[in-house]
Amino acid sequence: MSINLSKGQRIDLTKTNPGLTKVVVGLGWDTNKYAGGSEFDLDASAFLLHADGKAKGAEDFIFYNNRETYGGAVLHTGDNRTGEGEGDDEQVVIDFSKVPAHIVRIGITVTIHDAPVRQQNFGQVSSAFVRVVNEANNNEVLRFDLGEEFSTETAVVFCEFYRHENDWKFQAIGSGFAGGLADLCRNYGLEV
Amino acid sequence: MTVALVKGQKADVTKSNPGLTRITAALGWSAPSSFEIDTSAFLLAASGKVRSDNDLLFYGNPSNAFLSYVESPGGNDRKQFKIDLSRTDAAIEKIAITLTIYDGDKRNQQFSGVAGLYIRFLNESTGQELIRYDLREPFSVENAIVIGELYRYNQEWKFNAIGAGYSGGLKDLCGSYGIEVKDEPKAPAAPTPPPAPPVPPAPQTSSAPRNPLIPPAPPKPQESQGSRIVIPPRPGSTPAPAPAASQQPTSEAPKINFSKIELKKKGDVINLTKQNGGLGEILINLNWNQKAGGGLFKRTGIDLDLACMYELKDGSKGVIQALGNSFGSLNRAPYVMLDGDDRTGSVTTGENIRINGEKIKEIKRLLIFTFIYKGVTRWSEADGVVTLSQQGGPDIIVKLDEYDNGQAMCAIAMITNVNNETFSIERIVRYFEGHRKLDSAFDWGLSWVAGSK
Repeated sequence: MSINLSKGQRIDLTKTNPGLTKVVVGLGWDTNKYAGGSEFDLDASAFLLHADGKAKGAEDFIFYNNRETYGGAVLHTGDNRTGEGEGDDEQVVIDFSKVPAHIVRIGITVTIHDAPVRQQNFGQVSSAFVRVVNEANNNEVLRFDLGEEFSTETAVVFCEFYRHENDWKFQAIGSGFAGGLADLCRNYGLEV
Repeated sequence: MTVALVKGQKADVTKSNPGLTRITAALGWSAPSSFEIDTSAFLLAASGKVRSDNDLLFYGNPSNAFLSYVESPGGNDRKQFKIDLSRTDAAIEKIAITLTIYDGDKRNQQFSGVAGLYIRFLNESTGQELIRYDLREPFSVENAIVIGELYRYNQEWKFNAIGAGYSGGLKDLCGSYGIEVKDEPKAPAAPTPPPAPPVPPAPQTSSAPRNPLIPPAPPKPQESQGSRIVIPPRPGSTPAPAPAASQQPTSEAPKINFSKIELKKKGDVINLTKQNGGLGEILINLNWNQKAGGGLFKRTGIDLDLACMYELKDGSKGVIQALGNSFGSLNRAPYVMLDGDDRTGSVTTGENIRINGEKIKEIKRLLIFTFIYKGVTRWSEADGVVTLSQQGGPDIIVKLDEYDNGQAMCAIAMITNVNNETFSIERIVRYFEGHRKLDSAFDWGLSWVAGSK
């Protein structure tokens, strides 16, 4: 039974779901279907953060051009350039059993590719969600609908997974930023 | 203080303005005068669709219990909607405010040619501007745009600055909101494509596309998830000549005939609608110098006379004009009659010629023309418009929008008997020095003497 979270809410993942080791993080959105203007290309990324809250190198940053790290601990299943269709538009797979001990937090973000040039922002994106699915049985564990509070943001941190004692927890974030993927990288301590 | 929005941004309307219920949504833009831009509001249920045609508010359906369209608000605003948010129907979740370029596809006009687009929301009682959204992002192919949407959120109303649109005009827009737009009523089937000589086209057969101008069948129950609407042409505008009649959908939907058909190019031909009861009386009206803005029929020293040369089947020929008091007759040959000449300027309806359609078998052809009886030969100032009205069919319009200011006479349209069943109307708009030149150009063969009235 899936749990719907609201912004800021935290929830146990592995503690309340014994045996859960591998999750599919499904991200979805709709873009307004209008003629003219540019196509929307939204990109999901994952930032693997150390104890100081920073990513330290390329291996800590998963995106469309670096789709796997730490031997499959975090995996990006591929770039979807249109956001077409039902269900998840992009997916990130996390295998908690493979995440190295020095990674204590994983941030999942979505950015609008080329937003300034295409004059796009999250105000033009609707029905954004993130859901966590147990990879072993395909059951949806939780879901966070991001609602309609974004407007001029071009990058949004959807959620974070973080270690709490010996378990992984999930926090619904839904915080938006101006700027793009490069700004997010700098925010997380990466040089770009 | 005004909240300025950018595309994609959302703003509180009521939450940050406690007690606000009556707002004015005001729109403005600058566009070439050839652009005819229509403002509409779609009232959308939770499904994102309208519930019925009545949920589209525009010049043809200007108000309901809580929203009214203001055609001429004055000031810099082009159009306004006055909205009482407290009285909105509970089923209405969104109010989408849109602009469309009338006939944008036919005229190849897009919002790329429109500048300074904005919407602003005012507190209706204080006039204070609350929210303003300037659409700065350039448009490209769009000829129908959603400026933004007012929407309910947690018992409050918010506004979402959308600023995006469609390239398929009102039809696309309506389609996205669940309204099926029927094409405007098309011209009756005219098998002879323009330009063509005024030869009789083949008569319509029963297998021809259904004539859209015949009174429609009773309406069918509307489907629950969608609705149909016929968008009447905007006031004062004239749709382009209809394309092939075969495109006319054969539909049982009710249709109101607000249509006008304009013969725009030399040689454009259209057949009059043939009714079961015959052609009836056909009225040809000449009007001039009616500027869209003024609306008053004013004479600027130009007296245009409407006239007609006729040729009957029995070979008799003649001219009907005020000059020489040849007013004709409706019930006797030539079955064509000119109403009294208007030289006082007090009649706002211009000049009229009537044709007795019941006597079509007696009539071979008619050439409608006009001449400047008095005043300078400045056709460009006269802005003459000839409207041919028929019973049950669309008005047919010929604008004297090609000028030859040196000439005193203009041949407007040729009306030709088609198989004793209907008349074809052909746009001529050619200028001549006088009656003799006109006569010889159309091989009429009358002998002319100078006259006066």
